[in-house]
Amino acid sequence: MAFEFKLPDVGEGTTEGEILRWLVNVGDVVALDQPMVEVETDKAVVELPAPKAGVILARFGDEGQTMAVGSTLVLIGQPDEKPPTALAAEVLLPMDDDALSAKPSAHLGGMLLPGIQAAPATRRLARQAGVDLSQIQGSGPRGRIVPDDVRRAIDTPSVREQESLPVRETISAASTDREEVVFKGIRKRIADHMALSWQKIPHVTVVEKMDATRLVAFRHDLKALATARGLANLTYLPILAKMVSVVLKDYPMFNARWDNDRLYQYRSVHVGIAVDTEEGLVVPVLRHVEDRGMFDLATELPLLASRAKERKLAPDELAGSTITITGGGALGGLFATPIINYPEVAIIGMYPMVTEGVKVDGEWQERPTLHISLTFDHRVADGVSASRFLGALKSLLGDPLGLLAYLR
Amino acid sequence: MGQAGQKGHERMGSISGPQRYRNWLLVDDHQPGQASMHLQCDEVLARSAVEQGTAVLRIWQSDPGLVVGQSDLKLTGWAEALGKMARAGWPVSVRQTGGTAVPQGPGIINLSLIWPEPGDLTSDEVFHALMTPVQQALHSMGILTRPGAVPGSICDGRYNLLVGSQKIAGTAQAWRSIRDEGALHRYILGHLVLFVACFDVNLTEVTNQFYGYAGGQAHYHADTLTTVQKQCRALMPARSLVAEVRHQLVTALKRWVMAC
Repeated sequence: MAFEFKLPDVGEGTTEGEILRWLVNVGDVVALDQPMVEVETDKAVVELPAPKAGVILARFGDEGQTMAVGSTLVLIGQPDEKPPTALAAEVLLPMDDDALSAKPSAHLGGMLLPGIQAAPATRRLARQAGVDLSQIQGSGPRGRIVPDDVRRAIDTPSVREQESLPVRETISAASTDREEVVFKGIRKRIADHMALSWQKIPHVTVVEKMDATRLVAFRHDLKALATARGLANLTYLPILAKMVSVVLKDYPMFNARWDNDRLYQYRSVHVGIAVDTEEGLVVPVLRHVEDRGMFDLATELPLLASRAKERKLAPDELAGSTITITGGGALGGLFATPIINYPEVAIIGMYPMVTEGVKVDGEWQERPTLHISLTFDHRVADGVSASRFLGALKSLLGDPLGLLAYLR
Repeated sequence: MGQAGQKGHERMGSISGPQRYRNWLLVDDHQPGQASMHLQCDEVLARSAVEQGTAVLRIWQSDPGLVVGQSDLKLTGWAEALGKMARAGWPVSVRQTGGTAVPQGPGIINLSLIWPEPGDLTSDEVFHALMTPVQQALHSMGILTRPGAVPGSICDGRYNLLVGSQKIAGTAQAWRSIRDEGALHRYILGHLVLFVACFDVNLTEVTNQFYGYAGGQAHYHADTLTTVQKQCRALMPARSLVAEVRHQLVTALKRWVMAC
């Protein structure tokens, strides 16, 4: 009796394979383990050997045709043996639309995938164009998907782009009161990045509180100058970024990245600015802050922030920061312990300005008060140097005219 | 295959364990040349691997070009595409492993795995064997990856490596046999391609160009692809980064082999 050789599952869960090349013809004598056919399943080209010696009585499927796992590929028998009539008739049905409309798919020797009816050429077209066939309603006989259906789907962004949606996807479970939230796109990337930083870096945070009276006055005066020069606004962020770049000259270990177990300290200061968007925090980069003026920084900052919120930033605008600043500005909270933007070694936090009562010359006065924090990689620095760095920054923020001392 | 001093060959010693292997040859191949030469090198190494019962891991890079799978040979404009791409500086080579066209060049690192006498291995195990050390190498550079498909990307499949929703590496494999003194010996050839840097070339566009000439329906999307350079935020020049990735990959491969 003829031996039926079926397409095996060479992987785990493979459902189909495409016949790339027949290596034997009907009537050929094959030895045990002799390769008979090359089949491609999910980018694995597999030469399938004969499991027993004999003569090829029949082979099923043409080159380029997709076969389901478990469908018969070859009948191997004795030289004078004939293939069973029923099987041969069944598997040799032509794969055109007329045949499909006349016969149920289950009778096609497993050449179709369950639930999705499409010819191999259609499947290939869909695969190459990145179209998910399960998302398409076929317009052919018995709902079969034809090439025009795929082409229409290519022109309909929703089908192709579903895979790359940046926002999270909610799967409702009607029978329970919980829902599963699948993170995708930017949110998934943020999650991975945060987890990596937390796993790899021993974080320590130092917090300082400061009287911001002079800083407020400094910003007020500078803002008037900025307005005169046509700038719409001047926030505290460009001032802080500039001061950070100045103080870092004395503390280069915080302007650094820990890559591949090596610490790289940088002469240039590229400040990442954490921007809150609908998808989560993104960190565009202000470059060469050490060489730039505050008005210049104040001009670029809102542009970066709005491009971040519109998801229009180019990859290189998000790369290469050497230290990051995050602000809790409008969100409330006294201070936080931010996570370092891996593989940097430090992140500076600036928090909401609050009014506190301060005793000055024996009298209580209301003063604007600011909290700033430095979270650092404890592998790179210790608490003493971190406290000194943050103290220097606090001094400069507390008396901004000290910037003059750094002029060259 | 290589020039003295340019290529490191290391015998990893006898390994036993879950991977069932035995002797490994790690080849850090710095020989320049077209992809076709490197693909032939794989075939030569496969014969040697089968004869000696040694599994091989080889890291290599090729001159700019395009490497296609066998299924692309059936495209109606194949011959025309071959000439046009060669004239444009992108010679096309055919690999044994599956999948569709993949660009090659100075920012792209390839890993070949030759696994003789695979026994009851599954294709999934081979894909994982290719991906795991590369994942470890990238992880050491701060890049977290996961396997998955990216519809619309070059040579898509379930066993790409993704960063977020973008492809950074792809894999393919072929199960072959060699006749040696009358006996048939099976082996597996696995390929992994890692996109390290683009060198200002739009790799997706080059691939689309090929399918445009060849009459294929494929059209890939540039935003489905990323590179190590984009992901690790490295400020070092691309060539230095490629060298660093190779170094990390060699380290990870040694660790992986020792853990087998």
